[in-house]
Amino acid sequence: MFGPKVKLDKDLYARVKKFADLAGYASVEEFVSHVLEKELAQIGEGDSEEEIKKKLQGLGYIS
Amino acid sequence: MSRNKITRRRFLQGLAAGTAGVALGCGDESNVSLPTATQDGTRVIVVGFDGLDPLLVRQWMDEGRLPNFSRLAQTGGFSSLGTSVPPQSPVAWSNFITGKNPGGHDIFDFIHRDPRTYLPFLSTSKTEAPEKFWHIGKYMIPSDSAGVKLMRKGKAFWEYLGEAGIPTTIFAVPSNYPPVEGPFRSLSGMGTPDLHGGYGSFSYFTDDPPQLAEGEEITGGNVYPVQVIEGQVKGKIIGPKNTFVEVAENDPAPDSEVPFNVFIDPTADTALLEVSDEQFVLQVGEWTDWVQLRFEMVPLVVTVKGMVRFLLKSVRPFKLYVSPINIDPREPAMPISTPPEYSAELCEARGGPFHTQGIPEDTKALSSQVFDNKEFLEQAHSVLAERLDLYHYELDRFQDGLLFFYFSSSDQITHMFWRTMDHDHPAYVPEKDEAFTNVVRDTYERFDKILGEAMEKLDDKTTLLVMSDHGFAPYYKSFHLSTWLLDNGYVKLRDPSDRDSEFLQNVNWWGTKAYTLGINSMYLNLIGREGKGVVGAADADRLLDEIREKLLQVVDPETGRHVISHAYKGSEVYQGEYAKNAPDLVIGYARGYRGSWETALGKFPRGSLLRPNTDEWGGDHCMAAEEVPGSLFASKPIELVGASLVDLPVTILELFGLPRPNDMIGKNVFTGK
Amino acid sequence: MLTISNGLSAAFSLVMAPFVKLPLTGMIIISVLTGVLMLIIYKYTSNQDGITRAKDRIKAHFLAIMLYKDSLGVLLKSIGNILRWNAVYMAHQLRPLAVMIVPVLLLLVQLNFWYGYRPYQVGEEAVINVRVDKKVNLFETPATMTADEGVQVQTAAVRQPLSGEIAWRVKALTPGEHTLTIDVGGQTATKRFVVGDTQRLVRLAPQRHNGNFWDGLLYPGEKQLAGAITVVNVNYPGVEMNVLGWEMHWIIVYFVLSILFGLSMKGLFHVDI
Repeated sequence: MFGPKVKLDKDLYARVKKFADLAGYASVEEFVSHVLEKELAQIGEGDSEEEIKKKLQGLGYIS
Repeated sequence: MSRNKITRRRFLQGLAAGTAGVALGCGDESNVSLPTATQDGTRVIVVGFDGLDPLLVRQWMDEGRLPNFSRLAQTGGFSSLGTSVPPQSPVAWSNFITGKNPGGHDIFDFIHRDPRTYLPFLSTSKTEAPEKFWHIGKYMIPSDSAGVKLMRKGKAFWEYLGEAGIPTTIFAVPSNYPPVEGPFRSLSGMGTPDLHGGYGSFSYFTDDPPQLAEGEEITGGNVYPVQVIEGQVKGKIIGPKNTFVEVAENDPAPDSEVPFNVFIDPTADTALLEVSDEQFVLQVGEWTDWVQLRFEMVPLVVTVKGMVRFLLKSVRPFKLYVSPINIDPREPAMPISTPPEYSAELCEARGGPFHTQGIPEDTKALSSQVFDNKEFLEQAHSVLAERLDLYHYELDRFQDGLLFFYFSSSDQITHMFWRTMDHDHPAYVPEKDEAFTNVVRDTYERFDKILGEAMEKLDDKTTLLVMSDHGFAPYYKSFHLSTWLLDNGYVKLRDPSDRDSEFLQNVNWWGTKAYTLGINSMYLNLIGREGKGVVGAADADRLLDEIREKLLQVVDPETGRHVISHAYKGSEVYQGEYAKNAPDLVIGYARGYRGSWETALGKFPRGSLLRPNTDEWGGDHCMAAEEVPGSLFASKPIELVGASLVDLPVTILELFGLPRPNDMIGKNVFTGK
Repeated sequence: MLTISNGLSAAFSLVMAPFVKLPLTGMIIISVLTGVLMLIIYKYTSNQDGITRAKDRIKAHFLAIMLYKDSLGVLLKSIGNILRWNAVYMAHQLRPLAVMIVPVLLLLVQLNFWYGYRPYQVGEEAVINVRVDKKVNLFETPATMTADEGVQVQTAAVRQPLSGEIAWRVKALTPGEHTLTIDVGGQTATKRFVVGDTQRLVRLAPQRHNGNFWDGLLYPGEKQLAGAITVVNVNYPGVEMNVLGWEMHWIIVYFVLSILFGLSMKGLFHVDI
């Protein structure tokens, strides 16, 4: 409740709220946290793009 | 903790080739004793010719070119063999291995994606990084077990044979890396990486680098510009990343490397190559034998061994091809056989090592003009010659039980030389290709001789099965499915002007309903499954129907033909506990069409949705399963109508009098039940 | 030097002749002879009285340490004396070692040509390296190699003008002693090239050269080269000895055996070591 706050512009907030409702999230906060967590997880783990590319490259079926 | 996370990621980048060598390799001696005899002397030989096409076989049998195939068809049986959906080798062979469809074995495409991140990865195996490290000086050495994991699920049919005490040898079946362990011999096949962890990446050293058009790049290998200075060329072969060296968190691990020198004669077309304390004198056009390379990761402690072959293409200008770095079967850095010493035994048998990389023929080198037709064929024939040595070794000592033996040449050679036999192909260039018109036919004729040798083993206790995982068709045109999805409003881009970013990196997921990645796979952007899903479960089916209907109507404006003949819903064609991982729609292209290279990698090319395929890779089979069935020959009459890959494991188990596992979905091809 | 070395080679070949099919027996006999030789050298070149005295003193001081272990003064003095007599003992070893090293080194050189390499096998390929006099301009001087029927010369020459080296690749076709003939701008040289089976011992000379002192010492086996071609190298593959199923370098086998035999026979020769 009293944690750090983030500013969003009105338009974006409206769209986020609309989507959060549609997708069945309990609140805008829950939806935003969920999205951010996923985005962060993406950065931390797995191969880099360069590595993915290198590994896929040798496969004749793709170019 | 955070340090370990970074550390783990870096290990993944380096394939952890060394890691497996250190943490897995030690104490990995097999203590399983191999069975030696079946009770009643039953013998089954299965020869797998990847991609052997039933129409081509029929045609050349009719012309009298394949006497052994003809004899087998007359005395036993011949039919086409239903392949997998989609008809890609890892998927198809997994059907054969498990007797299940992809819903049961979890391999749906060469390329899968992580729904959370939308990033692609090779489907059949996964490198797992170690969790803990010793930190010694500038090095870090894993203290717990790390390595690679086979992602194919479902029990392999030969595991049942092993349990029943039946002697079994499985030579290089695809989708079995690392090989499942048990009381049998097996060597891993397609899916076995090179030392860089991919499907094989060559190195090309030249002082005359190919001139590439804007946006064009050489894939499948690295070009290293070099200079000839006073008759000498110095180069380095780059090995796996040295993930044993500690570096700052965001820095990449340094490359391991092995240097080499080449001395060129002032006038003659000869050169002296010095590498790894060995010398080779080569004339232009000559190959070295296998050369072992030792990549030192931690001095005296960790050395990762690989091996390469060199081809001196030319000295003026200087052109030196170095093959992808294969795992050395004498001292494998990664697990490639069961029992672990089997691969070394095979080297002993043929008096030298052999290609271990999963798809050993370097098609990429031909596609990128680093090889010409002749050089590619030399390399492909060397693969076949090695395989034949090992085939003879296994066939000669085969007394009892099951022998499965796999040949890759039919597949890779047909991919690359369809264009030379099909003179209407957009990639056919008469001046350089006409002399290679009969390469595929010659290969089938060689296979006829190979078959003849297995047939000499036939007696009343022996059954012979010859099979392929799919057939072949021309690949005339590429379809940009990704762009089609974009044009039809199913995909939204973040930056509409950027169409070349790979791996869907430019996709605005909040506006994207469906996407494609891999060769035949299309996915919905589902809420709850995808990282940024927008399609609710309630809408999914309707949306899929809509996309399918539209796709089936796509027509080639030049010919009026439909581009896509089938579009299978994952939920309809797959059964089993992994069906939930399936693509939502599997695209079945019509004969002559295939998903484009760009589509497979998540790019969105501009312009026409269809593009003529001018790549040397001119034959393919990643189409509708109905278009490219495989072949089945047997030494006994085939009773089952419409036999398919999943029927073979059931048949083999029943030939040995073993019960049919409940979760195998096939029937016995000899009884029809 | 090469002449002496070649003479030794010929003599050694006579010794080895009975053992070409019995490598391990040959090694045992040579080791016994070496043991005997070392003992004799030791006996006549060492100061036997001095060695006996030094060893007795060391023993005496050890005894003192055991008897007077409670007396720090005696203890320290005894340790000091042990070290001193040990140094004396070591000094007594220098002269016999210095004398021994000459025949042992010559023997090692000879043994290496029998046990260190194996001949090429039929079908095997080999790189032949040649060095020429710096005065020869390899940019402009042609170089060719020919061989008798048992060997196929597979490539044209690779000349390296800056280092004065030339390389060829040949392939072994039939077993036997073959001759390679090298021609550099009209100057010729020949080199023996042995193809055979690995079960039999064969004396192999990896290098033929123009005979400076060290090459002469280390690479006997063929006549000295004269003219612009100064060195011809045949890089015979190295080989390990099989001792009861264990693969090991012959030099380890040789030293372990000759020391064992030497020690076991010292009583026989009344030698104090």
